[in-house]
Amino acid sequence: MAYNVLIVDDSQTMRTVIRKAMVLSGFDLGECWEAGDGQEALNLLDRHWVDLILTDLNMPRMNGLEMLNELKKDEFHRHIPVVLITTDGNEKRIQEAFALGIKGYLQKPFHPEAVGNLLSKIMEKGHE
Amino acid sequence: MSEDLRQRAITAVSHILETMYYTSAEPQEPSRGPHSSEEGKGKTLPEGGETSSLGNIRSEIRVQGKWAGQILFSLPYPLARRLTANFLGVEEGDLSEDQILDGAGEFANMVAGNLFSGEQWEDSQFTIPDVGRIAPSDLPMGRPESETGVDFHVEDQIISLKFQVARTLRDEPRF
Repeated sequence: MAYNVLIVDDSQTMRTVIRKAMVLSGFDLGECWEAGDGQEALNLLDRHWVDLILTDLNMPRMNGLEMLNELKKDEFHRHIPVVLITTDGNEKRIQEAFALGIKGYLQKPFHPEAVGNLLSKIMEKGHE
Repeated sequence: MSEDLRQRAITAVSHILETMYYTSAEPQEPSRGPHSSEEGKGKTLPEGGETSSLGNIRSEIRVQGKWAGQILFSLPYPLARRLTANFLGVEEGDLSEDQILDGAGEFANMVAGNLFSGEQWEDSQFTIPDVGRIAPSDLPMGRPESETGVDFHVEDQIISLKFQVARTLRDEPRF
């Protein structure tokens, strides 16, 4: 089953690297959407069907935690699994993100296979 | 604190370059202090030890909260272009100026995130990298004695990293 993924990161370069890592690791990628911040991501969710969201934390306009807060309040999108892919190794903020419902966390830098392994595990779990 | 940060910087930069840029870094003592020659009296060595005719890319990330300060990266433009090409898995000639600047900013972001992770930094935040290109004529000469930093030999060029962070008055110092 191919999954539609939304990548949220203010770095276009990093969005490209994440997308490539998913393909290289053999993750079954369907459509892939990209957003530069949390607000842009929420706008995209209103227009496209998304199975999985990968998000950074530190972004302009609306950061990752603010976006998670908004998602939690949104009855149509709150069940979409979210995975954090960030440079931020701050345990307090990571725990806050888990409390807001993220399903997994990966710190940059990462090996491509780490992305595929984590995402496949999360998506398979969701279909059990 | 400075030596601890310096060691963490060496670990972070090496790990990031090996994992995502498929290259390695050789740390060295940062260049500083005046030239010994009469001609160079009063000047200091160029930042990063060498410059490129294409100038450098400079990324700045500020630290805010219980700790405050800044982290500065400087690397020659050709090295930034090569690293971004490695990062994206494309040819150097296929990259736009925006991609090279964005790639340099993301590198700085990853180093800062890895450098300042841990309980001690929990109540501090980082700004989004401020990235810009510096003309060769505008490159600063050396670094003040008060700054801490590390230079890295990467693919025959030099990445210069310097940082100044201090605990703010929001909490009692733990020194």
